[in-house]
Amino acid sequence: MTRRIAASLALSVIAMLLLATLADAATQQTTIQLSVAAAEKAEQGYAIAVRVRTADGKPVNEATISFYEPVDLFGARQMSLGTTTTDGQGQGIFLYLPAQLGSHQIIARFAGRDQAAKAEATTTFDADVAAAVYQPETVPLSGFSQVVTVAVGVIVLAVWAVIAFALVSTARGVRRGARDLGTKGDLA
Amino acid sequence: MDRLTRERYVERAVWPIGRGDRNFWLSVAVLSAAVLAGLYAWIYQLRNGLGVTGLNQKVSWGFYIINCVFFIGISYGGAMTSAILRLTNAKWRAPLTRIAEATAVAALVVGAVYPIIDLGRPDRFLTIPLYAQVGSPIVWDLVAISTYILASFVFLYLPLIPDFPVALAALGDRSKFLGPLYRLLSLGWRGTLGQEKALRRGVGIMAVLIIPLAVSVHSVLALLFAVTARGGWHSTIFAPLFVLAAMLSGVAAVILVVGALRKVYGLQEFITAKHFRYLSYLLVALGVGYLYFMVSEYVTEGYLLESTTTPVLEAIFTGAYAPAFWAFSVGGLVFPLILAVAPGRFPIGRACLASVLVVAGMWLKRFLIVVPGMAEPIMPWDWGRYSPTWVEITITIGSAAAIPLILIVFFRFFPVMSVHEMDEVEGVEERARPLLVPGFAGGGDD
Repeated sequence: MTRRIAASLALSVIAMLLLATLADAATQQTTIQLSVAAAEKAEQGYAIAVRVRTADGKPVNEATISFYEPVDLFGARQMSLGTTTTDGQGQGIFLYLPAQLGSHQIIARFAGRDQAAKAEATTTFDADVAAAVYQPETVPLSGFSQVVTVAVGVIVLAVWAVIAFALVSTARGVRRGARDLGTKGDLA
Repeated sequence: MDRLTRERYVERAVWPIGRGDRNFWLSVAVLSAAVLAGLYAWIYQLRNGLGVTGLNQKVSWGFYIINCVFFIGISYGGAMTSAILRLTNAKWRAPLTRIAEATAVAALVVGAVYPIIDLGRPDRFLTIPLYAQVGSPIVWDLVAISTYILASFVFLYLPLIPDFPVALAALGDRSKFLGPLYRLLSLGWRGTLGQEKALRRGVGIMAVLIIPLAVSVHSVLALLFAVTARGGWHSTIFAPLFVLAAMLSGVAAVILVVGALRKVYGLQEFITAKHFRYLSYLLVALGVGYLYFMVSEYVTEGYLLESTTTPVLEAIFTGAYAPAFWAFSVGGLVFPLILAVAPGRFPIGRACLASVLVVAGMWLKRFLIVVPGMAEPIMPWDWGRYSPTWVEITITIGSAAAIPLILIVFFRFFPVMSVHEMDEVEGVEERARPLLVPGFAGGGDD
């Protein structure tokens, strides 16, 4: 009885390992091709075209591709730019308007699924179009607020000066007065 | 004031100095125990975080901010009482000014500690001056309170200068340790004409300055609430309302302290029913003013019934906070004001009882400002809840005990009534004054 149980357990393990190997063999290597071109409208920045295919050249449709850009913000890290999904031809477009001019490195990443393995590709391009510099909204009375701030600062300094004057002038007056002899309060 | 009366006055003014009888040590022990319990609770909070308090995400201001506003308000009343009496040259002020000024400093020191306790992490306090954002009311508070502390200490010290020789004489043989310090602080006071002139000018400047300064401190404290878009807080009348509340509670506290010290130090001959009657008049004038402002605020808000304010008004008038509100309005404002000035017997006892009720009522009023305003749901879900824990209650009791402790320790070293001021208002000729400390003159003039 024990032998039968052990044998069936061993068979089960072998079967599972076999299935896993077969499944692994079914997952095909995936490649991502990236190309960057100027978008149709200048304010859209750049169109990053992505093409996802399996090793045997079949397009991978409905693949979610995530885009990142390496940045140095409190240390090196990757800034998430957004995602796009491939069509029936395994192609997708991601519009990106950089915040700064100059060289940009873009990383495209596919997390993988049933029979398509995860994949990653990198490309670089030089941006000569960038998002406009952010201009904060003009706060009403902001100029007046600054004047008030400076005025309050001056008043505070004046108050401190008056306190110091009261203390120092009294101390000096009392000490100087102590040297007066034969005056009204000469008690000695 | 004849010479004998003046001698008795000086004797009573310096009576507590260096005196360590059984009652003194018993008082110090009891009050110190309360203060130490408060310190223990604070250390417990520092070790375990603000989670040990009743503060929470919705009601993040509780006892600590209430106490901060309350104690700084008391301080304001003390300083104002002294400054106003000096500026109006009220002749009856002499026995009271020292007590009022010392009460102001003691309450201010206690009140100013509360924002640090409320921070939870005292080490983060330095971020306020180091990374000051001038548009923040917290920064305004820091500047206003620190300036007011400095001014209050100077306002206490200057009138003390001529009384150091008096304190030194009272210490007598026991002055070996304190003698050099008193001589240094007295700046060689001998009462010469030049010294009198310099002192009068310095005290006059501070008396004028302390009033707008105290008004600004409480206005800034009020702005901390008023510039926040919360129901019951966002009011244009908050600054004057806070200033009046501070004066009202402060004058009540001064009456209480004066009443207690009069009894304990045997000052009945010099602090009489007249002083309590005059202070009661001041109390009633301020109380009526406060009542007017408060009714004006509630009528305006109650008539408009804006969506943010209505839930708070409902909670205060008829809801969960109604018992506290009506207890304050009737028991802590209207009744004590009638009690204080009603004709009849026991004017001192009635003034003190009225002051107890006003002080308690004004604390309740601060509670009604802080907690319902924070607990009101801004987002569409439940009201916030706030129940203070033993930590907050113990710290509150400890800090309240710190004020009388500071006062009785202070008056063990300095005259409880200003001798120089009494001479000034009574017009006592300097030559007629008895020589208090032979050879003292010029001692500090090195």
